[in-house]
Amino acid sequence: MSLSAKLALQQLKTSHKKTMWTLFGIVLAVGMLVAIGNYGASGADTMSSIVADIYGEAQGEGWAGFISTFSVFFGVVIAATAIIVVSNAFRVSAGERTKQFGILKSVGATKKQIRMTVMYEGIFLSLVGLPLGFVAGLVLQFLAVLMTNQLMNTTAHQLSFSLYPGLSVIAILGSFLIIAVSVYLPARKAAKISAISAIRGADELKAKKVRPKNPRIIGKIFGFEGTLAAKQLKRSKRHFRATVISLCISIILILASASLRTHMGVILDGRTEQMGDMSAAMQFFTPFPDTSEINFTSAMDITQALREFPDANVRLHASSSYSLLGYTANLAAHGFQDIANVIVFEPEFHTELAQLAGVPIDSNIIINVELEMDAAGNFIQHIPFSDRTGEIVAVYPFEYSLGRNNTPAMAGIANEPLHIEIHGQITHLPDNMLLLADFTGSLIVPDLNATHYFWQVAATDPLGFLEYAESVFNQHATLQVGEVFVTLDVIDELAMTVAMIDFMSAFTFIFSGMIALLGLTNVISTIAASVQMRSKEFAVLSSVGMDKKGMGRMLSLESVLSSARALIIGLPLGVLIAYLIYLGIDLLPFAPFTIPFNTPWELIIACALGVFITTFVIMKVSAASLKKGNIIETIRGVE
Amino acid sequence: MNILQVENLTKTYGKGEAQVNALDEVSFSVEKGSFVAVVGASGSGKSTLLHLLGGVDRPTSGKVHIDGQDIFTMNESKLAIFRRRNLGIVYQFYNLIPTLTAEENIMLPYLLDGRKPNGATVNELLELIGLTDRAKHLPSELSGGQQQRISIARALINSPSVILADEPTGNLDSKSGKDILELLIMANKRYNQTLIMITHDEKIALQSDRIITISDGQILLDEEVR
Ligand SMILES: Nc1ncnc2c1ncn2[C@@H]1O[C@H](COP(=O)(O)OP(=O)(O)OP(=O)(O)O)[C@@H](O)[C@H]1O
Ligand SMILES: [Mg+2]
Repeated sequence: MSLSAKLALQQLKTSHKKTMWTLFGIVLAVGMLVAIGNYGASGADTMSSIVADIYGEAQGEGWAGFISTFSVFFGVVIAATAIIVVSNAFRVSAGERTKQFGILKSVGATKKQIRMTVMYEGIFLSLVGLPLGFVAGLVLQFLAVLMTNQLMNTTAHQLSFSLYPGLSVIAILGSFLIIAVSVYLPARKAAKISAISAIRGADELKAKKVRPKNPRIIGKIFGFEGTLAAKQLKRSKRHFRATVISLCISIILILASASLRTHMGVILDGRTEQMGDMSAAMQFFTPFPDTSEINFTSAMDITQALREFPDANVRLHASSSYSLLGYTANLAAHGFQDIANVIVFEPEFHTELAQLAGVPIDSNIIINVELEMDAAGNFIQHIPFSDRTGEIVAVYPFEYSLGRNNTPAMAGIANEPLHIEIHGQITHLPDNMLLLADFTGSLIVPDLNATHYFWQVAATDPLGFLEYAESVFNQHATLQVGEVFVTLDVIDELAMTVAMIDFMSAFTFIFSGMIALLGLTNVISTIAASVQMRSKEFAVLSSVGMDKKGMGRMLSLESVLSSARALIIGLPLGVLIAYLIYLGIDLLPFAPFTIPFNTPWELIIACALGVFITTFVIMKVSAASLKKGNIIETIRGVE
Repeated sequence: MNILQVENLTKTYGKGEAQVNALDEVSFSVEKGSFVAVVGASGSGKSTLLHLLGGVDRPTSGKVHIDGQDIFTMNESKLAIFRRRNLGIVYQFYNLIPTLTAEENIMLPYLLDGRKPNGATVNELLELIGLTDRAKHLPSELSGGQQQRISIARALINSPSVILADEPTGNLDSKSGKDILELLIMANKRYNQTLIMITHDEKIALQSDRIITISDGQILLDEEVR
């Protein structure tokens, strides 16, 4: 064994406590990468097959791609955190030995030999860490799958534990690369320091020169111990940087995943409530220009036929391929921006709406109601714009093309507008309309050459109904090119959405937890190392009369000040990202109502307490081990 | 024959007003096998000189020839290997690698070369410094004087042509200091190794062949003893 290897081994043995934590960090990082590779892949497989069952292969593949991207994103975050944490551990370890390297250099060690001394530490730790990490990865994946299935709490869709050899190999190679980079950087730096500055401890000298800006304020508040703590933090800023970054990352991820889960949960609850007893839905789209056999009259015939199925309650509404662009421009001036539709309902329902609006039966009625869900989960209706009764609006027919999985997407606007006079408005939706889609700004007309027909069904046997519906539809219309008939098992669809959201948030939650754990190993090894390195300073302080209480106070202050930095950066960023996620969810087209932002106070407090308590406990434990040794031993130990 | 030749050696630290001329155009040469004591007030530039002689630091200008070789023309790894094979350096404190045993610390120049010295040599040195029973101990388990003896044994193991010592007895009691000094003088006399030692102790300086007094980075006095 070469001297460099031997020195590395001795170093690992001597500071075995720190070595264990570094190794733990490496094992955790490797494990997380292996786990996320396999977990992400099996998640993508499971989820895409669930989606494919309902929406078809193409949509399933889309979801698989999304989950894969999500996993890769998480993989990158984990890898970055791992590099920060692992390289910090090696940097601290190399920094501790600056003087030793100086001696080695003056005895004639070359740059390469010094570099290899640090590199071998990484090589030895990899030899143990990579296989252990792989095993840990399998355990983590198993736990993650278990937890996910627990969190998803739907028996229909279960994530399975499966191993992807290719991905595992990539994860291991990636981890090796991460460790190599993490070790190489501090190794190169250690080799670069000139012999003379290593002997004189130039690094330490330089660090001691730093004068914190406001120790006086802190000193006034916390006394002399506070001043010392603040100075020390300035000195070891770099050591704590990795801690601050990894804590920030986990705080951000935890807040983000909580935001995802809470807000999606609110929307899902609202949607479940809105759908009421609805269990199936059918949609029919005609091509543009309209060459369809279906018109509103034949759609009503289909509706009648559908109602013959036992225990089925069928509702029809149809909309035109007209958008209220002209009207929207008007509404924009009043702060309303949605592109709304022209819609026709069955005559009985139209009559009901006309009565509600207080206008004659044949009137055109605008829906001037917006739904919002309040914090308690109740729907509030409010009026988004002023009364436009009496106005004549121009609506433009729009073309649509069929997108992925045959869902129509707006493609363009045809020229000739349709002019419609508004006769009245509805400012409060009847209960049975709450259950429909987002109608805010829609114009309800008594008669329309519609292009989009939509049936909502409450049936005790939704699958049987859907089968029956298809036969009814085929009796009444022959599908032509461009026409689409889509049937949806709403219950199944909802369950899928729930499963998907549960999966995504379980995913985020589990892995942000692991990143927090990775950050924690860094906290422990950094604090332990810094206490160790300063044992001489402590000995000097106590030899000039600082008592144990004072020393304890100094350490506690240090932990409080260093965790405060992580919180000051992490919490606002986390809340900001949580808010951005909320905005994204609120704007989702699939939520026909707006929801309030839920400030995650409990989590913010939990994060703050968690960070404070862990750093505090670690400091106390490290300080306790320090106090055991007597002053002389401590001074000699460092020499 | 001159084993060591120093020409116009200058070392300045800092710039402008804060500039310090730690060494200012110092020239001298040392004959093989002689014992030179370097004395001078604190901050006069003694350690700076020693670091330059050992090739641990690089001068602002000037040259150092050891055994006919201009050491600062060598690249860093060449210089490291040269140091390993031709020089022995002893500092006032912190000379040992804390994770290596006493024995391993002594063998360090060999280990760096990837060689193993023959066991007899190591044992002989251990016996010489009187620490045969402490061979397997770690530095933290040894007294200050014992640690210093180990570092001198290390400086002797590769039979270097030049031994450089910076106050090797500075933080030891007089008995241990005397032991260390005897060791170094013995090496100087018995193996004809050149010894350059910084010291504050006049009695020690008087045991040398020649005393160089440094003041403000310049040679103030250079006198033969006896
Ligand atoms: N890295 C440095 N940066 C700036 N000045 C330095 C540096 N190293 C040494 N000096 C200065 O150079 C001068 C000579 O220092 P040196 O260490 O050689 O003194 P010395 O003679 O060994 O003193 P002592 O007997 O106290 O060990 C001193 O004035 C010192 O302040
Ligand atoms: Mg000195």
